[in-house]
Amino acid sequence: MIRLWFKSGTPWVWLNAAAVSTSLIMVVGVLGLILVRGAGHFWPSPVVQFTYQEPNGQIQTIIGEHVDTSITPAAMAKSTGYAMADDEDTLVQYLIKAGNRDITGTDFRWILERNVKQQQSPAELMVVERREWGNFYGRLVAVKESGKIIAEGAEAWPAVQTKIDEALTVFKKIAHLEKKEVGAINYSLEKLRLKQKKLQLENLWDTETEQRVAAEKAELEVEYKKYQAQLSELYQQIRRDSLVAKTESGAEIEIPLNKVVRIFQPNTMSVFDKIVHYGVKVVEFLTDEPREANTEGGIFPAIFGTVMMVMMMSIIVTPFGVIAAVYLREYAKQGFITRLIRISVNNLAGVPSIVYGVFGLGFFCLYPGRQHRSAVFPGSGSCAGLRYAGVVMGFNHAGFTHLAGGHCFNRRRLGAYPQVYTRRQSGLGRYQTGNFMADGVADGKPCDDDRIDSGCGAGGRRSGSVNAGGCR
Amino acid sequence: MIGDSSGLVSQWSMVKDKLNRPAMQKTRSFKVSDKAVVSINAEQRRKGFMTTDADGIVGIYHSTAERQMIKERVSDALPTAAVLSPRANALLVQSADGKMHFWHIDNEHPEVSIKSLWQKVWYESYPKPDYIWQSSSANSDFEPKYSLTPLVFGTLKAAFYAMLVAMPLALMGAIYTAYFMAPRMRQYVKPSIEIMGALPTVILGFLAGLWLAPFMEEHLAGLFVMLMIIPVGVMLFAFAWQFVPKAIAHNLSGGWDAALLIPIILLSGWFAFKVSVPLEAFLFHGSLRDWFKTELGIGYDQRNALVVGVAMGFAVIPTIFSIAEDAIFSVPKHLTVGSLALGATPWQTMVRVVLLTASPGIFSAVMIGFGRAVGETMIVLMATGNTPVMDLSVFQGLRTLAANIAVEMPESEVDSTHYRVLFLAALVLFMFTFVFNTLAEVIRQRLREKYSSL
Repeated sequence: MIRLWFKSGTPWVWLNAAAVSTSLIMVVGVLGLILVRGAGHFWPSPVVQFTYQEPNGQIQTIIGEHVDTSITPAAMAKSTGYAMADDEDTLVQYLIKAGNRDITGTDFRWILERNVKQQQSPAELMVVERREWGNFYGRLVAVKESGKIIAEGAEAWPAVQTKIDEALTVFKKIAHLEKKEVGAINYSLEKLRLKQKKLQLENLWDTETEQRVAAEKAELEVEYKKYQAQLSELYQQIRRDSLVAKTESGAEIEIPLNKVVRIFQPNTMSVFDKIVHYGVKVVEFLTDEPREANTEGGIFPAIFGTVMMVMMMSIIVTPFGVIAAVYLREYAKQGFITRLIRISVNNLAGVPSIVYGVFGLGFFCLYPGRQHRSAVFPGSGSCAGLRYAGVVMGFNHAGFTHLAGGHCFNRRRLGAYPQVYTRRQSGLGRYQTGNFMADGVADGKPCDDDRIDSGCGAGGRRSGSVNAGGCR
Repeated sequence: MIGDSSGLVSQWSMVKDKLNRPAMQKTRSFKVSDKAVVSINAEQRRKGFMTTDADGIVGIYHSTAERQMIKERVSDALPTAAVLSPRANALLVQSADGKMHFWHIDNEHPEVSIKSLWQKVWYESYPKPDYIWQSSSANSDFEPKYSLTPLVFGTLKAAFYAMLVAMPLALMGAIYTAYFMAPRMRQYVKPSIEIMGALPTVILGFLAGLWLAPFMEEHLAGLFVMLMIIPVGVMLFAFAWQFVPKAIAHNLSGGWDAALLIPIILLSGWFAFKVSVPLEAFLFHGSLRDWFKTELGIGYDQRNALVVGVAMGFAVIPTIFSIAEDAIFSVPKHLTVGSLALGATPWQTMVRVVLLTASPGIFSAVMIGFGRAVGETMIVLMATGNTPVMDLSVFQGLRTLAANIAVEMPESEVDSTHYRVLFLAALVLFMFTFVFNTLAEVIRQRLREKYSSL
């Protein structure tokens, strides 16, 4: 019977079906993994206090978030050097984010489950998110203003909340002044400097212009002095307050509030509080700038760069792709040359992006970078020229891949458009062009946009699924 | 360097012998001239040297590349002294007739030769000639080693393992999706698998390096058990399925088999991981990795070809799947219907009629997939460890051309030999993908012509 079953070929069909299922499981699995790992990141996890016996017998308190658990089979643990009792099947280890990098030197540590004597989550444990040195975990002792204690014990927590809000408002003002107002002055100064240099290069620099430029400069200086006074006042204000906190080992440290982003007690937070916290963190992640060498804060600059590049690339390259595809499909005489072009376009899409990168570096960046520098930015430093060339390179090279992808897709899509329509209308006396504009583009368009965008969405990497099917 | 009266210059180097004692050994020699060698000058910053012979002929050579750069008569009389400038861009020769000769030398990239790029080279203080890529180092008397062979080897190795994972899954998946699957399910399945291709490879590489590699290191046995158990589980289920009452089977199946199999595969995968722990303890003293090392002498790197194979296979599957599926799906219906009417089973029709007709399309799918795998950068960059070794083992790392460019291009000095060799690496990579893509496209165009006549 089994032989008959095999002869019918059914098992092979099932095996093929299994390949589809496996692929589907892999897709969903990867997306799920990213989603779960990524989405869980900002959820405030409870802060736990462990009473832990170090391998040397010393009892110690460890405060931190329980991040991960690893379970190792006994034999494997033995081979890596852990002493295992005979009745132990597995070695369980916890990864603890203990923070306090400025005090202990490490953010994370592994502890052995069997050495944990006690584990609890007291309500008063707090997390301080700082601008430097990462998170702080511990207990709040007091709040200080200009070095004097203003609140202690139970009053400290509400007091620190209001103080933090004040400090954050001041911090925002400082950031605004430094970036926007002072930044604008610096920009004007730089423009003046470049103007001066340009005039000097063109031999148009005389006493009259010199006086005018000097006057403008002096005006800007006055304005700058004004902002500087404001800034120093604000800095004094923000440096006034600080909080005193106790670490896991009982030592007291003082944290100035100008270094604090937020402060919370995760063990007392309700689900609603946690949702709010989560939302705030996600918004911060998407709209803020990175801190601490890109380990904290947001990713806005990266998002901006990605969107910017994709947009520039699409604007420059879409017309090429669409028009070339339309021409190749609808008007060109099909023959050896069009076949050659199709092969080339396919190659354009299939060449690894790193090759475009190397080409971009060698050609756009280093060659015209040198030429354009003087032509486009007279008198400015070498940086601007390179940057300019970098931008050109960025979207040009990404554009190449995109061009090929969009091109392929358009040709496929237009190919699917029934020839009957075009023939009939040509027969009815309409010009080829008008006829195509009326129907071809109108029908093809909405979907084109959609697919082209998804091609770019794949990171400009390689037109993604768009050309996965190749040209038709 | 030793020159003798017959015009032979030989290079000797400190090499560890069989007993691990340092000994001088001749690594290579150059036939400089027929006359006696008068002087040898080594370049200060590179592995080049200049010789002068009794006839007044000056030769400039490069030892690593085993290249003669130039041979030129400088003076008619016997040269008495010769010297190279520190940057090796000028030379001064004094001859017996009392003349001084000053020459400019334009010798920018002597390190590169066919031999130094592609063949085994005996580098200084190495025990034997070898293929080595080591473009820079911290010390100043360093001999750059620009062998592209380990990189090409790494590229092909990564692509090979990726294809090993991707080809069966993608082609079998394509066969089922195009021919056996219910149209409504196909409508959902095809785009979902193609979505894999839209996932940026950086994400896949990141996951492969930071999640998959440690996971595999820990569950290596589970992975192998899974490879064995899942097909068995699927077969058992398929066999049992015949005994399900026809009424239920007809409602559930009919092209939805793949959906039915998802829980089966998940279950047998889970079972494989559960079973692997005691199995590993019982058969391999607890750790398959250690067993490989002690019993078979196979070392295990965390970032290895297996990880890359799975991750890059994942990235290549949608490409192959999509093109192969299109090819199979567009096999004219009258061929399959005719075959079925003559009494062939669906599987026979598949193998003897459909696959045969679609074979050029499938071939071009595989070619394009291979081109993708060869050029892939981010996955190999993050998941291979980037060790330029030539080792076929699945558990060893590798370095591909693409990853090498990505790693070293930002560090290399503009217009240096290193920089140019990286450009050459990019050209090699381009040639690879160019050949595969062109081949695939030409075949596909042929196929299309054939179909339009059917």
